[in-house]
Order: sequence, then C-alpha cells, then structure tokens
Amino acid sequence: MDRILQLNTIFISIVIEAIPFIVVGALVSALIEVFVTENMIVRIMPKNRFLSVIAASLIGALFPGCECGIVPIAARLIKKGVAPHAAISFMLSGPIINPIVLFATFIAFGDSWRMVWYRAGLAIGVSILVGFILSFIVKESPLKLKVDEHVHDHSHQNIKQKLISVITHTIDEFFSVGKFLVLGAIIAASMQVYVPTKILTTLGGTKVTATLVMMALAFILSICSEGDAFVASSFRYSFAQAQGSIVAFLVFGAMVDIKNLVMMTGYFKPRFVILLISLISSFVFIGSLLL
Amino acid sequence: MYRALILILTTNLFFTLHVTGNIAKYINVKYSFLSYSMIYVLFFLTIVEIIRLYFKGKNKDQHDCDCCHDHHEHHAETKQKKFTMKKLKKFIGYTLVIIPAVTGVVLPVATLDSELVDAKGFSFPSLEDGNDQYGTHQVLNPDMSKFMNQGDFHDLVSKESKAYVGKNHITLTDENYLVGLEVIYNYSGDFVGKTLTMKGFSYNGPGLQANQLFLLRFGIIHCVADSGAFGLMLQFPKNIHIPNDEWFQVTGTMDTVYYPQMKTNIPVLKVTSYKPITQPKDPYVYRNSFN
Repeated sequence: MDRILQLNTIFISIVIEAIPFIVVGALVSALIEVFVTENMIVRIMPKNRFLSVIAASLIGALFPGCECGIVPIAARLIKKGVAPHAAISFMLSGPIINPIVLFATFIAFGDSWRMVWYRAGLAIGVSILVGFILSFIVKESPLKLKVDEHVHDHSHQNIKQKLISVITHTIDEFFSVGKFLVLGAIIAASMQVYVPTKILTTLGGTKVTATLVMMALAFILSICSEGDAFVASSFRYSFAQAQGSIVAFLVFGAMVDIKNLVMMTGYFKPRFVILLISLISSFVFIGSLLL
Repeated sequence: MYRALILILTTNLFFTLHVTGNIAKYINVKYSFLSYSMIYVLFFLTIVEIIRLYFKGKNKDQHDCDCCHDHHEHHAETKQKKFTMKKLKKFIGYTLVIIPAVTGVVLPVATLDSELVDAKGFSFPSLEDGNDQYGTHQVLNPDMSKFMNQGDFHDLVSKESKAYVGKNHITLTDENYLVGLEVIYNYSGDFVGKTLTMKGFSYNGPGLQANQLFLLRFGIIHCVADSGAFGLMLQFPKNIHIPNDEWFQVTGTMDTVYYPQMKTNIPVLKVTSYKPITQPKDPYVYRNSFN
C-alpha cells in the first residue's frame, strides 16, 4: 500500500507540474487555430526546396503546438499547396522549438539552458535533414486520398465569436492532450517505484543501448512535448550515460510517439509514415550519439 | 457534462493542494506560482464549459466542435460501430483525465523514504574509470554539474565554498542542505576536522560496516519525480542497530573514508552525539537557485 501511495504521489507531482504548460500550450495553439490562416503561411513560404525546408523548420518556433495537434495542421498545409517536405519539417520541429516547450524544458532541468540548446539544436537538425531527403524521394502527395474534409473555418466569425472559439478550443485541446499526459505519468511513476534502477541501467548500460531504451520509452509514454521535459528529467538518474539518451527522448518523443503515430496514419499513406519514422529514428539516434 | 465535472475536480485538486500546503510535498515551492494560477485558469475554463453545455442542450442541432468526423459515412451499420468505438474512446479518455483529480485529493500524500532509495537506486558507478561527469547518480552528492557548464559549475561551487570553509562548526539547515553537501563533497579535504550538525533519516545502504549508516534527505529540484536522496555517511564509535527511516539530528567531526561500493573516498561524519527527532513537517529539502 505504501508503494501505491508513493506511486500516486510521484504521479500527481508529474501531472501538476505539467498541467500549467499544457493549458498555456492549448491556449496559444487555440489562438493560432482561430486567428492565423493557412494562407498567411503559404504566402511567406519560399519556393526553393532547401530554403523552404529551413524556413519551415524555423517557423515552428512561432507555432506552439504539441506533436498531436500539429499533425492535422501539417496535413492541411499540404492540402493548401505547401510542399510536403516543408510541411513535414514544420510538423517535426514545431512541437519542440517553440518558446513554451523550451521554457518547460528550461524549468524541468533545474533552470538549465544546456538541455534547451541540445534539444532545439538536434530537433532543427533532424527536421531539416528529414525535409531534404523527403524533397527528393516524395513525388506524389503523401496524403491519404479520402482525407476528411472537416475543417473549422473561423474566418467568417466576428471578434467575439473568435474569442469564444479560442476558449472552447483550449478546453478541447486540454482534454485531448490530458489523457495522454495522465497515461504517461502513470507509467513513468510506476517505473520509478517498481523498477529498480539497476534493471534500467543494465539495459541502458552503454550509450547506444541507453539511447535506444530512451527512444523506446519516449515512444511508449507518448507525453506531449509541453510536458515531456518533466518526465525526462525524472529519468536522468536512471542511466549512467544520461545526457545523449535524454536528448534522444526529448527529440524523438516530440516527433514520433504512439498517440501521434495513430494520428499520422489517419492522414498520411502508410508507406509514407513508415518512411518518415525510419528517417526520424535514424537521425535522432545518430544525432544523440554524437552529443 | 463529464468535461465540466473533470475541470471542476481538477480545479479542486490545485485548490486543495494549495490550501492544505501539501503542494510542497509534490513540487519545489519556487515554482508554485504556476500551479497556483491554475486554480483560476481551470475555474474559468469550467465556467466556459458549463455555459457551452447550456447552449448545447438548448440548441441540439448547432454545429459542434466535438462532432464526429464521419460526415461522408453512408452505411448505417458501420456508422453505428464507429459511434460505439468513439464513445468507448471518449470514456477511456475521460476516465484517465479524472484519475489525478480524484487520487490527488482522496489518497494521502506519501513521503519518500528508504524504500524508494532502494527503487531509485543506490548503486554507485565506479568513479575510477575516468572523470565521467555523467557517471554519478543523484544519491548522496547533489551533483548539479551534469547539466551545467563545467566552468560555471566550478565558479559556483568555489563561491559557495567560501561561505563554509571558513567556519569551524557547520550546521546544515533546510535551506542550505543541498548547497552545503555539494560543497562538502567537492572539497571534502577542506572539511576534515570540522564539526557538522545535520538532520536526516537513517538508511542502511549496501557495503556498510556495522558502525556505519547513511543519513539522508530527499532533495527536490523541481518536483517529487526528479527528487534524489542526498546525505552523508555516519560512523559511530561502536556498532549500532538502527532500522531504516528513523529521523535523527547528528553532530560529529568530518573526515573522509574509503567506501568500497563507490570505490572511492567519500566524506564521513564521525558521530559525537545524536538524538532521535520526529520527522520534520517538511521532510524534503529544495534546490532554491543556482547562485
């Protein structure tokens, strides 16, 4: 019983630490959902493939959203004429390099900039590389043919209606993100209480295995990028070779995880999703080994 | 309906934690403004959700943001199946989100104790093989250097050490516990012969002699999930039998001793006097800042 209570205490602490960030993230992404139109983004995107990939990777800094919220946005961008490689670069870096996620990372690692730079740097690197490669490989639309046409059009609303939409979207996003956070926090807390660190450290004894274990964890835990830094920081003493593997967790988990994989297969062709995930995992793995 | 209920329960979670002061048992109070503001934000969202619920009930046919994405579905049977699946998914989602709001209020807060020291790991990787800065676990020595620039870290520690090295009797209080230990571990030689007084709970770690014991406290950097056990080894003049998790105030003389488990010399407190105390109201210590 003591163990259960300790598990619950750790679980609650992860949740109450992450909720403020999730609410703020939900609010800002609701604001953008309502006030920024895809046309505005299309207008400023360069036509050149290299420039567009780099621009798309960096635009994410202004576009707070988590890895699940951004999938439909990326799909909609492609539908509106943005090149797939640019939209995907945006989808990959956006959940990581925006200020809210970086601030959460800063706080989660005890007011340290170091993890923030590593995380942002690797994320931008991976999203640019993946975008470049996709721009040569992907010739046809990666979208599923019969993608649902359901789009919230807020352009006809007046300012009062828009503000109401912002709040209701915030609540929607809070719930869609909240369940994955709770699930991730339960798994993470259980691991802390029930799995002796020794098992983890033997699994992750070397840099390579530690990185692989953390990438697998990031995938399974499926924590939103706004809250994952807090969970990641709780793992930092589980491995001897912590740093690279923690960065792998922070970057990979914000690009691919169970919950956004489900969303991606809903929008993109299966072949494209497999290609995308193979590219992301390879680059994150190699990148974090180099750290 | 469920959403409004979950939102108000989550508001209540943050409210209760702040009113009872239990928030300090979950997170470093330095960041409590984040969770404090959530009381108001979540309450506001609850109100909006209730208003939305009211209008939804009033105007059933109105466009609704939760609406199913199957406008193009023509087969009634598949539609029914999809609908059930959707309901099930929603039910699971809401159940998850409600968990922390309930267990955080209903279940008592657990205090981390020696059992969790076992789970979190009390294994010291060998310090001999190279100066691997990521090789030490967050046990005993609150080593913040892992996530800080090395140069900055040494500046900081030497700055902090000036406050301690000059004194002949050092008392580790709730406020200076982590910082003080950090200095003691980094400059253990400078502290030999000095008198030190500290509080903590007993922990019979691995590889101890019959007259040795660890005196630890859990230190929180950000939240309970990232906590670690910090403390000193005690050495009594004669053999002792003290079970785990007994709280003591101990005074003694500083020295260093070879600890086989760690394959290195660590600081030790040679006990001259000790008395049992009750567990402090706030059993944790917090890392307040880095300068």
